[in-house]
Amino acid sequence: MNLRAKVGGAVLVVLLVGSATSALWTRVGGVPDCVFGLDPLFPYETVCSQTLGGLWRSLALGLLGGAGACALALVLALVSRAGGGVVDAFVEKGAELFFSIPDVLVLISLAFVARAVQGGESVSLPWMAASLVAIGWAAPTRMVQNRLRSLDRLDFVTAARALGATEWRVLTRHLLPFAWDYVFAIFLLRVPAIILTESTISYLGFGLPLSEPSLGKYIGDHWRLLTGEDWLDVAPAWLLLVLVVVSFHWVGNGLLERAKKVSP
Amino acid sequence: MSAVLLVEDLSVSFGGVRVVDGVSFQVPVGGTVGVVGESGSGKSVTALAILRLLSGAEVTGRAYFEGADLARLPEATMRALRGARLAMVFQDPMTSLNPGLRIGEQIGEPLRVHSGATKAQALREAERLLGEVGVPEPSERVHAYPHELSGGLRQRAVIAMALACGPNLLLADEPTTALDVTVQAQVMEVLVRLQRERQMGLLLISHDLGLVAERCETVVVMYAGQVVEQGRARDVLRSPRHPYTRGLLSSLPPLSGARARLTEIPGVVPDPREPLAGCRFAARCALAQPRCRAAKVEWTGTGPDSGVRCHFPLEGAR
Amino acid sequence: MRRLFVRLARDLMLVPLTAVLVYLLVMHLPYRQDSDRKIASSEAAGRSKLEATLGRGGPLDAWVPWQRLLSGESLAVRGERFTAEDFTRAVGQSLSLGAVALGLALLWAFAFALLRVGLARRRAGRVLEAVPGLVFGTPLFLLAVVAALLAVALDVTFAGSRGLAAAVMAVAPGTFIGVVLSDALFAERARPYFVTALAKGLTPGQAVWRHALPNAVPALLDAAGPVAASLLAGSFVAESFFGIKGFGLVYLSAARNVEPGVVVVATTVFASLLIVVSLFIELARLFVDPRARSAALEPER
Repeated sequence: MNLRAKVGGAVLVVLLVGSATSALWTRVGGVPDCVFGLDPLFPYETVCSQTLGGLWRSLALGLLGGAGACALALVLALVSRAGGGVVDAFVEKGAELFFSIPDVLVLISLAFVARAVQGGESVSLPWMAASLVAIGWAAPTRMVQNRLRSLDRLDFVTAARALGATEWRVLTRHLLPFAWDYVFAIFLLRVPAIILTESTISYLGFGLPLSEPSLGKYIGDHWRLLTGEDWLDVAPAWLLLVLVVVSFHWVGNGLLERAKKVSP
Repeated sequence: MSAVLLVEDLSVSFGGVRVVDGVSFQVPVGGTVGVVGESGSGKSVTALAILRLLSGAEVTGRAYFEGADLARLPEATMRALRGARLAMVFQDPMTSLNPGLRIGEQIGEPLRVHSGATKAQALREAERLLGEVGVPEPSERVHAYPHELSGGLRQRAVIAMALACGPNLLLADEPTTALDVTVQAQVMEVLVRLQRERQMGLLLISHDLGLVAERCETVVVMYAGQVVEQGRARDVLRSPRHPYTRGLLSSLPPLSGARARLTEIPGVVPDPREPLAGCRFAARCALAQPRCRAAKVEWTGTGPDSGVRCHFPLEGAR
Repeated sequence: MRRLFVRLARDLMLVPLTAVLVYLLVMHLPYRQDSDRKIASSEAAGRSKLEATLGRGGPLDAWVPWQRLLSGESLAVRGERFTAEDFTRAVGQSLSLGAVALGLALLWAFAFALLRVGLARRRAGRVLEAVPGLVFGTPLFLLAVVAALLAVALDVTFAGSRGLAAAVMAVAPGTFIGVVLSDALFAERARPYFVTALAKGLTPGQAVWRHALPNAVPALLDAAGPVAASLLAGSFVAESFFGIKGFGLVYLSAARNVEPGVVVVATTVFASLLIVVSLFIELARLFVDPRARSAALEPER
């Protein structure tokens, strides 16, 4: 793995561990202790706890959403490969159709449904994660399908079939081992995309609650402070967002290159 | 100068790795020279180096075209020569033609670039050229896209494109290798006929020694970036002096006679990155002696256009 | 030819189908019974208001919201009026904004692509390689924030600024097209026919313009779908940020205030727009790629 991927990986580990243990180090001996003071828009929490909380919520949404979307994509791709012909075409067309609808549009529609049915001004974390899976499955499905298709054309697969292997065996013994790395790399690349889409939707007013925001929601609500003297209340959140996105990109691309090298 | 092309000590390196080493030969006006070698021998790179179409390569040596050293010319002058006075035909017509343009446009393009012809004039000339290379119904085919033609017709179109401005030298890099065997002979016929009609120099590059010996006056045999033997086709065919050439000839399956195992040359071409002290063919040569592996082999000229690079050249007919 | 028409007709049929589906979905949502939600202040009263405005909810009633719109009545079930006039005004704003954004995006894309191809082996080229990562790694509203900060610094009013909005919308699609175009150009330059062109005596520039660029266009068309989607999505953010009362803003407030009628119409219009755009791209592809054209016009075997 190249240098970038290693650096990205290190940053991610630090961020993940840091956000998971953030509760410990923003409260020392029961007393909230933050350099930046209280959150101007929600004075019951400090900037630190909102920022760090935002970090873990964004990471949670990204990882859950990404994992869900990629798991679904893998299942769909395998089913379509095993089912062959019609099923394959159906899944492909469906993914293409879904892919062409802008994410933001789908999320707003889902938020509309949530409001119509549940009421309230914001959505819960599980609902947001589910919505992100709903928009995130199409692109990975297409990519994994294409990958399986190109692997299928390799000579050793044809040889296995000629020797009498069943489709299931070909799938599990020959195709799947080459697909894992690829799917994992795609998952890592999905996460920043999901985090960014979520932050856009939060900015538009359809995100998590003000009291427990994600990084995107926090920045979306506080951005006006950037022009004033309280700009430091927003800067750490922005920095963390950039770090998260760039790190996932670097690691994901590094793994993708490696996965592609193993087979054409 | 009676040679349309004179190559002297041409060497090509990519990032310090020498893939063509001290190649010298000449193509007389209206003459045919064949360059033979297996993949990796450096023959295609030699042709591209002559035309200065290699990017990222260090080229040393001289290549005189009608008396002028191509290596020293300014790029603009070189461009004026390319496609006009010296032209190249590439191996695979499917990929060497632009799939998105009609062949008439592509054939006529050199005329538009070099002679300032208009679109209509170029198209008319393209039609005429298609007829010259033996394409049936040229007035219709001139509007066709490459994928609408068969392999043989495509390659004829490529030849027509190369001949559009009436060059004095044609470099043909494996012109028939990508074609079906039945079509190969036809396309070679076209090439040779046009060469004779126009008294054009032809440098024919191929891995097929039989083909080259049949159509060329002079044969240049390359191995691992060096010229190992050179001479008149008849002589090289009848009494090859380099063990590699003999090996190549022996490996051609005979069409008559008793059944026997095909002889092959064991081993593989050496990695150009590995420095070799002695002869590059020594590892695969059945007649190698200790001196072959140790001492560098010099060129032994046996005539104006013939010679061999071997410590112990073979004598007599095979 | 006939096969082509059949395919086009089949794709266009998706438009009324989408209209009906969206209508059915929206009408049959289990709307929350809440005292301050006017749809269901008391079950019977709320439901009848919904039905009075938008029809009974059966598949044949899907035309009701459209009929209301055409006859100049309001589509709103709860709050502010929303008539055809509001609709067309909003659409007009969005279309003009979108058109400017598309133009800017294409300009930026070509500039970026040519720069990237031209500077490929030099140090300046490395810097350029970082640009796409930066652009795609920043959420759109942050780009808008940056634009707003710049505007404030340069003493330019940014509220209501169509130019700034269009510029912000154009950055991501433009970079995307630019990357796709330059990737395609690199790929075409590596193909054998490019060497043939050089061997004929063309300058590298001429060869790129006459040979590589036309063959790179199909790749561009493939990218056009996500770009169109990105422009539509960008309009949500840009209109919201810069306070432009376009179609995106209409959709946003309809979703926020739970206005079923407006949501039905808006979703159908968006979906139809996407269908029409993708059809258009398919046709354009046939126009541009001779091999696709031959395949499409072949008579049925």
